Amino acid sequence: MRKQIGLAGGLAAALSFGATASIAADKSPAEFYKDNVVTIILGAGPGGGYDLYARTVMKHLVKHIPGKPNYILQFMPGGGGQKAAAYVYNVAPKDGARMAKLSNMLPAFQLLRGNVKYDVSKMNYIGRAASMQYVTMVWHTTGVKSLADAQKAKKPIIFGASGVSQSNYIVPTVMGKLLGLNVKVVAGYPGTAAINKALEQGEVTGRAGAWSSWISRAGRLIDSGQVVAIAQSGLEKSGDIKNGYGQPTPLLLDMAKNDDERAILKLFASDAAVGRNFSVPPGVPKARVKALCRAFDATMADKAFLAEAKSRKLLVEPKTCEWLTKTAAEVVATPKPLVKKAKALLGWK
Amino acid sequence: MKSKLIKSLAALAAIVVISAAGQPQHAIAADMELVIGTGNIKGKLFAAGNAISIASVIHGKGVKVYNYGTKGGKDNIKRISKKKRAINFGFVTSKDLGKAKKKQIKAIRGLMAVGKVKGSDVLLIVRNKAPKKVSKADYASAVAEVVKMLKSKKAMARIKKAWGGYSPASGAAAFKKAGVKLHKAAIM
Repeated sequence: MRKQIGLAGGLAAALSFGATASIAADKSPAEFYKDNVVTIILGAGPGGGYDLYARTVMKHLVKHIPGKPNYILQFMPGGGGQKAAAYVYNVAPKDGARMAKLSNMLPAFQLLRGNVKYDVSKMNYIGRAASMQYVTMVWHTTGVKSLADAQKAKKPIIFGASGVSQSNYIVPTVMGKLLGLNVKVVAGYPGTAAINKALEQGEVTGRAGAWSSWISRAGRLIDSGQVVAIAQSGLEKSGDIKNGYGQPTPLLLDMAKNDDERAILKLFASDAAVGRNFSVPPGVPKARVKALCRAFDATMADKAFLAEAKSRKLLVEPKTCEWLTKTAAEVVATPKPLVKKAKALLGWK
Repeated sequence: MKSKLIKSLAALAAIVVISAAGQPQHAIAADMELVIGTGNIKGKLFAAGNAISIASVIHGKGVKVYNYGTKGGKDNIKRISKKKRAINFGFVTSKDLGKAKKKQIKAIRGLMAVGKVKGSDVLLIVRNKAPKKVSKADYASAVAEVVKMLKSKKAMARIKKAWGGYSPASGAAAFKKAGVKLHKAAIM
């Protein structure tokens, strides 16, 4: 008897939950967001670039979402952003009230590391606020002023890196092993500040870092000509980045000698392209995803947002949700033999 | 004509004085954003942190509290007393406070007890130093607003839904035992 009551109760609860979920899913974006607080989950702690971009974008994005909801931030660091990605993908409610600003490294992690609890090609992207163009800089005393100079250099350029899974390790390693540059990579520095210090002290002679990080943390080294840009990684060239001869720095992608090399370089450049991206988990009602995409596009053109981003020294290089979805799908579709080759280049198993 | 002008100027000045006097002494700048370190994302305290965060937006005035999934009480003390990228609030147990260094104890203030987890009292602490570009008075007002919000019936109901053990109380004895000074806004 007790079992029967339990079963009946469970069925009733399931039916009522189903009904509630269906009512919530039926609501138009304006009706839904009017009564909700949007939570944006960050795969990092407070105070860094993730936090700054999320606060600045969200402050203006909510004005463009139908129903003008309020918002809060939720910090969920761990595993290089994988903890937050797994939570958003598997646990977070799929109603559109949970958004995410996840790591730009996820597509590369998914292919190169494997055994991840998410699929970047199934995420519902909202848009990208900026790329995370990686720029390779060398110390002025090396005499290297361009990528061509680096290709002829007899003395190795010693790059400082934090960890083997970080872009500051991946980019110079690929430059050495795939493009044949004379480079040596020293990993183990605690972070960007420590590598910059090592550069100034002559311990290392190069660093690959996000362009935004170079500008905000080592702008004086660029202005004084103590560091020289030789290459940039990403899918699209940024014309503002000049080498030691005042010419635009080349894209590493353009140095590929064949289609296979191009596909591998594209995989490594995916983190720069995905950049400062915003998404919602798979399963969110399509109308809400669409409303969020268009709200994001409107935010990127909003004068108040652009003014605030400028005052906070944030780069704004927007891309639509459609572009991000296509890019993520293309990266995930990299043929397996090439992924294996890419892993071997980095010495990963 | 001249006397009329003087009279109207005097009336205007009086209005300005009265309206200035009517303002709160330290009005919080628009939506001050503060961070609370809670605990593991699978734990009850993280869920409570989410509820606090939403309650701050719905029931709080001029202050937003963001939830940070940390490694627990020890980590929260470490992050609150950090020089750079510090958080503002944190959940700790008296055991965590007992193990904290003198320097860390100096950097924090006690606010209240929030309930029990696995038999241990959970306490709420706050960073003593105001964030960058925020005045001491504004920070104190924001902390007081958060405490007021945490004691309000509506916020309590919301937090209890996420964590049944939520029951705000003084906690003064536990703070005193650990040598932690109380914040001005602390529940006595």
